[in-house]
Amino acid sequence: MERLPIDSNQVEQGLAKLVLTIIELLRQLMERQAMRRVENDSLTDEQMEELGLTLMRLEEKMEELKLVFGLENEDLNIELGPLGKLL
Amino acid sequence: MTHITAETDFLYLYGIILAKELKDAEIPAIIGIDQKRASVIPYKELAAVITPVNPLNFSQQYIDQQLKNTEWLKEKAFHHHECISVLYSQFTVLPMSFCTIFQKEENLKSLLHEQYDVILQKLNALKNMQEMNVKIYCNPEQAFSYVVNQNRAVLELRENIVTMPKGKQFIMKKKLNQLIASQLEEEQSGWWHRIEQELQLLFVESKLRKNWGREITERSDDMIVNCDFLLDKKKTESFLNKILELEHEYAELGCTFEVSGPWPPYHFSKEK
Repeated sequence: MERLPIDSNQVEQGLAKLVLTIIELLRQLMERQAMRRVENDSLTDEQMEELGLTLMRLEEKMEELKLVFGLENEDLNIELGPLGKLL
Repeated sequence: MTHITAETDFLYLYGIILAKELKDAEIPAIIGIDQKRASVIPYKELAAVITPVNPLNFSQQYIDQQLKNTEWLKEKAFHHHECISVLYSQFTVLPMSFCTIFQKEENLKSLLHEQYDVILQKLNALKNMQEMNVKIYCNPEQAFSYVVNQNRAVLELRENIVTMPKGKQFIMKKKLNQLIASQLEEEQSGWWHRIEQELQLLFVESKLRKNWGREITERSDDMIVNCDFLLDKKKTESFLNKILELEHEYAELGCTFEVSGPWPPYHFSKEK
């Protein structure tokens, strides 16, 4: 179970970690869905280009946010007990 | 050879040998797992090598408990292996699993009776055979670099990506990573297939075992093959020479070979 720290200096960091983890989860799900569509040949060249640019910008944005909050890739995760880790 | 067992003693079975081989050699003086001498129980053309054990120290419940005690396990498992190795040095042996125990001699004899043909056939098939284990480790960076620079499908996609627009390029780079991982797996399975083919004439049977993780091997490279081979003792030298040759050949792919043995045929003694 992840707990947010009560300390006011750390609460922002804890919250950012939690929010960014959820965004990262969504980003990875979107990326997987996109890969599935590429593999199924269900995208036109234009759609693929647009999707690629969106995913690329999303990844860049995530990198920026991680830098701002001083988080590393391995910080973006949630321990789900017997189920293992979220990501 | 005589054996003296107390009425209540259980029998710890090390292995089964061919009775006729006892004409040429005696069972070595082995102090058994519970400090009592090992002896032989003959049954037609078979001979079971046993040692009496205290029923309290070798009850199922006590053993299950002791299996969590690493010191006990290490000492007893080592003893089991040592005894089977001593037997194996002089006889054709069908080794038993660690802690194969019978409550009464008649239970053991009834097993020998029921499984007689199968055991005899197995022992005859194991005559002059030995087990060797081959582990192949692979340096992941070297294998990765080989796939990136040599694999045709990967090279093709890499070439195409360069000419793609930015967005498509981003997606295809992700696909390239997936392709590299799957091609690496395919390449490594192809390497093993070819290695096994090269060894084909030198072994009788092979059995793939689960690869060990780095937490067990304590190495920085990955185990990609863990295989037991049953081979004729006469072919050992040729087998080892072939392994050396293969190791040399596969070194550029980041592979190193580790051979251990000869072992008693532990992994070839069970029925298919």
